[in-house]
Amino acid sequence: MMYFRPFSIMNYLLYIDPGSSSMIIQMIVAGALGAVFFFKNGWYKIKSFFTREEKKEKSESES
Amino acid sequence: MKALASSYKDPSGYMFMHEQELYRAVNKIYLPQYEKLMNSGLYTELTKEGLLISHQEEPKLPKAADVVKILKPVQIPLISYAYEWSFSMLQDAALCTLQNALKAISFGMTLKDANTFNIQFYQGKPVLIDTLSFDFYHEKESWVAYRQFCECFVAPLVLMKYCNLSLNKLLLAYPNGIPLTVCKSMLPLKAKLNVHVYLHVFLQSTVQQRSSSAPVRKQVFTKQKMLTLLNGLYSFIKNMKPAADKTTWDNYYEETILSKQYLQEKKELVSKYLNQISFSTLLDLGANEGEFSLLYKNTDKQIIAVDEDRHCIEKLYVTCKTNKISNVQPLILDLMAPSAAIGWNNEERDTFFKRVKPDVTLALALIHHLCIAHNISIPQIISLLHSISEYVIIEFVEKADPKVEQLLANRKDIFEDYHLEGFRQQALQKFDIIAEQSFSTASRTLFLLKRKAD
Repeated sequence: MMYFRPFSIMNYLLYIDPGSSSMIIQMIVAGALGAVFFFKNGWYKIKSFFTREEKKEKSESES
Repeated sequence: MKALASSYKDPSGYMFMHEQELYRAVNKIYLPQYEKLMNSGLYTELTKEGLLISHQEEPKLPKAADVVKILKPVQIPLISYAYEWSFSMLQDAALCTLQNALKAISFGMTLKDANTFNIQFYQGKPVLIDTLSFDFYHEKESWVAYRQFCECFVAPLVLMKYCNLSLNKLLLAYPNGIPLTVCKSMLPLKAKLNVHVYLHVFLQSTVQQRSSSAPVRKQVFTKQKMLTLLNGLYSFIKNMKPAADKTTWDNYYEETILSKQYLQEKKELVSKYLNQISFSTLLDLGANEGEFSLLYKNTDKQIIAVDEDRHCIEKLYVTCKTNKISNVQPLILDLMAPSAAIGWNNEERDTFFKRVKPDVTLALALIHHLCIAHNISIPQIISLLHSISEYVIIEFVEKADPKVEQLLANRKDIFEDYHLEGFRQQALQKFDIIAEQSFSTASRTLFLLKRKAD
């Protein structure tokens, strides 16, 4: 079911003050965290690539 | 149907008491959101996961003009507040809030507020009790409760982690969240090096201060950004570890000079006394790590274990959580300064002893600390215990006991009235002595008292 929600009601129900800069700070935080996750994932991929290679070599030499 | 003193902020509805049970009124203005919560599957999902308190609609109860629904939530036997929680309790409450927020997004709703009072511990786990906390989610909107979440959860947690474990007590002074400027001013430099602390506390505080007078420019948020923000907060809080500091009461029972025979004798005697009375709620004052509270674990009794030592309460909470003990509720409480009534007109949040109504109180190895270390007189203690519960099990520790000798080692003995007979006479003023037995292994006596009728 769809509801029509006028802007005034939307603000009325959001009864706490999010702060005048809430949107700006959340844009910055989400952007920064996104970048952190991106580089972390990248780093794990690189690391796992090399550790895999290493493991492969190790298991090959063992066999 | 008069709203509770704490239920005035949200125009969506309010809480009220009816025949000694709590109910929630849903106002007409919130009906679309309430119907979406119930019909979208979000309510079912959250209650199934134990993240939101379940309720039933009560169509037969009379309603005020603007009220469209009356809900009867599951009744929570004990209301506690964040300034009484240990680190892990506050951490789990924060994670519960974020899980609610994340689940809500996937059902097209958002969590519109995130304060600590909306979370309560029920059967050992944190649960969101404010059913009306959900609003429609619009992808272009940021999280309206972000600042509130940071001030109510992130600020106390980082202060407990980086400064001192007792700093959630600041929530007594700032019940609506510790201002980020205050939090920032107390944090050490190393906290700033953590990317999450830097973003959520330092940067947010700076941006808030700088842009409070600047004109607001309309910006557009995205769902991806919202999920990054919530998941980022979740992993940051989940991986937090409390500051390591040791207190006097750490490993009390392991390192203490008290003998194992004494402990065994005391456990047997406490159980014997408790078997003589009928009770459903027990308050263990000075519970330490819950040695005696845990005698009744996984029974139908409700056990409230309080101690002023945050390490003991943390350990007890972790023990209960790990072993899935749902009937023992640990809380931090300093008897010298029990939680006060706070909020608007001092009516929003009750004092500890107004919220807790036990049938029996345990006060084991406690009286000498109150009398000798804090100069509280025996009549004052008797009077407090008399106001708490009908039955009291109290251990009197004599001056000959090594623990009392330790307390008196560096101070003058000004406690002439502190002796067994004096205690007995004072107790008889307000209680009947049902049982009394001295330990064979220590200079201590255990009493079972029953309140005299006024």
